[in-house]
Amino acid sequence: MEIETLDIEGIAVVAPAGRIDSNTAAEAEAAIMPLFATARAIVIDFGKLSYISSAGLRVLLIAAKASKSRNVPLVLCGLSKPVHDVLRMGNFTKLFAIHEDRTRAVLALARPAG
Amino acid sequence: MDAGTRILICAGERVDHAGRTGVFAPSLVPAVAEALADCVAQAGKVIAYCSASAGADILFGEAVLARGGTLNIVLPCEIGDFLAQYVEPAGEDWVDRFHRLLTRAERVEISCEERLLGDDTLVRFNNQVLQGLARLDGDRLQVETHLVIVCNLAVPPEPGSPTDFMDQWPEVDRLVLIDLDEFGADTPPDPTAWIDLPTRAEPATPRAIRAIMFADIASYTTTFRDDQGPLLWDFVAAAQAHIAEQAKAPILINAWGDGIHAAAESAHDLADYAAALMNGVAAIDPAGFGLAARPRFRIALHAGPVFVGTHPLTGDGMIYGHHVNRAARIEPVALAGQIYASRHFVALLRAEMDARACEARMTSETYIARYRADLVGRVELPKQFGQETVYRLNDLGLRHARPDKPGRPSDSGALALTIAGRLSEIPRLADTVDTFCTHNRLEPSVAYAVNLALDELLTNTISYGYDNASEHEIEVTMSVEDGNLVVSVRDDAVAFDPSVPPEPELDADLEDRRVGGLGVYFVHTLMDAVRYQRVDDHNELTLVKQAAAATQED
Repeated sequence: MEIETLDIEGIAVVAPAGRIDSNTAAEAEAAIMPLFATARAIVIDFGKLSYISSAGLRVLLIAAKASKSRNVPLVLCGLSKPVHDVLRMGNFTKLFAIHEDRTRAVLALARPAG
Repeated sequence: MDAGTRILICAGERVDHAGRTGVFAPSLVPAVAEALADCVAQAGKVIAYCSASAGADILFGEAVLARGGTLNIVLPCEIGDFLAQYVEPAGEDWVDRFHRLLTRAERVEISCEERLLGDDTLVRFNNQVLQGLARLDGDRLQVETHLVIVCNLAVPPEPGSPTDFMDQWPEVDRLVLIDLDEFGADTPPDPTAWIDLPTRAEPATPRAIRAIMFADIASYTTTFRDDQGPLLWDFVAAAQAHIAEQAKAPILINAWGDGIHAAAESAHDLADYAAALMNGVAAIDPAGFGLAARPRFRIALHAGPVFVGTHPLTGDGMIYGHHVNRAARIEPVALAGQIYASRHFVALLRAEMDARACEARMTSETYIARYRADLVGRVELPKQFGQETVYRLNDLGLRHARPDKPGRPSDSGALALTIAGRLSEIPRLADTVDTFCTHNRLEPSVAYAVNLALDELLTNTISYGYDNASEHEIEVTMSVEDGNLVVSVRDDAVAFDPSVPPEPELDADLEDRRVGGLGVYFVHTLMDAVRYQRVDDHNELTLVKQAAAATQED
């Protein structure tokens, strides 16, 4: 799968494209997890993600746990309706701040949390 | 599908005779014959279903044969009784025509192989069998089924009359009504004279149409040793809790050992009970009760007119007669874990579906059939009971009508696909499912749901289900049936039953959250029914999704 990553003033943006399923979950995990050691905050941009299964949610859960233990804020953005529905079905929407798009996500992280 | 073929059912009034006048005067016979001939001529290639009373039935049958159509005759009782009751009073000429018609019909069958005993119940049941058989034929050939009614609207309906038949017909645009009143009867109907005279005496022993069930636990004596007996009954008691929740109790039920005999007033009531019995047994883990194997019922369903009464020794209700015995003979041919049904049960069920569709339309709802009958074939019954055409009843797990939506999923073929037991096959399968759903005008959300469910299940199977490194295959089939997307998956992995919904802790704190069990939980959330059975060392899974079609605006 294609995974775009970039750095915006210390905020890491990672944007997987296509599907996160049992085939690609390991790849997504490998792209996201090292960022907790380098970035001060992380945005996972699902704008180009068409599909996610419970294998993808597993990656998100590991990331959420790392975010808490390492004190690195993690937000999601760009969720299509089907992807959002899967997160909601797994009751995952409570675990993350979810923003409409990348701009809003980065702006939210750039400001001190209020 | 043959666009040129049409199924016609005819329910027609009898021609007047000395004991019954004012409905269908003999002088109208040529005009009615002409109207029926026109009606048959417009239908193209005809497969027809009717009874053969003197009057409109015989005229219709003659019109069908004259056009080279296929004629199926269903009579409510033995031919001798039928002739005496419904043909001979009209005269010798009609008796000759009756015999000529029966000789040239493709098939003649009798819905109750007993004497009539003067019972309108039989005629009504015969109408339901006629309707159900014709509908099953229409479903199988995927052609339209139309009802032709010849009646006199000036005469009030009675049970089993053509007007009564018409009231049970769901498709008003597929109804041809020939009203004898409009042919300008020479004499206006005499409201006191149309009733059969003299009035028949009430039969001494009342008869009623009943759906009848016989069931037992397959390989009961060989699988469950004597010391497992108490465990087995504990298991069945737990199943009963599920059954009582899912279906109403039959109006009559008796059991001895592992055998069960039950009866209900409608085919649907009994099908619901049989399905609840199957589901109840499937919902419980036999290991939790110390049982080595899951007890599996084999169930046979039949329907017909039976005698009803009270057993003098027990004081309990009972039913008896030819059809009760016949139902008992069907049970041994049923396979474990399956519901078998006779031709007449399936016909009655199909006719009831029409009646339910009628009711749903009155309240602007769309009726969704819960059951689908798949033909097994003609089987020899034990104890010289002759042959029976049996069907396997599939529970699609749908219980409620839903609000009407524009556009309906179209039934355009089925998909069958074999994939290798590798994770990399899942995206390929997803593409095929998407194409299938688009082709069938299903909403994208349906495709997404089915893909997610399949992904979760196949990922489990492929990741944890193979205990050797050899190549494995997984068969996936898909079809749209009555507005439901039905998916089946068959694999040779270790036994795994995902039909029991897991209860993942969705509200746990972040630290305690786990993803295990989430996949199967998704499957149950997304699908309307999940059914599992282990057959010949294979897992067989059926998923059903109610599938509203994509609307025009999409």
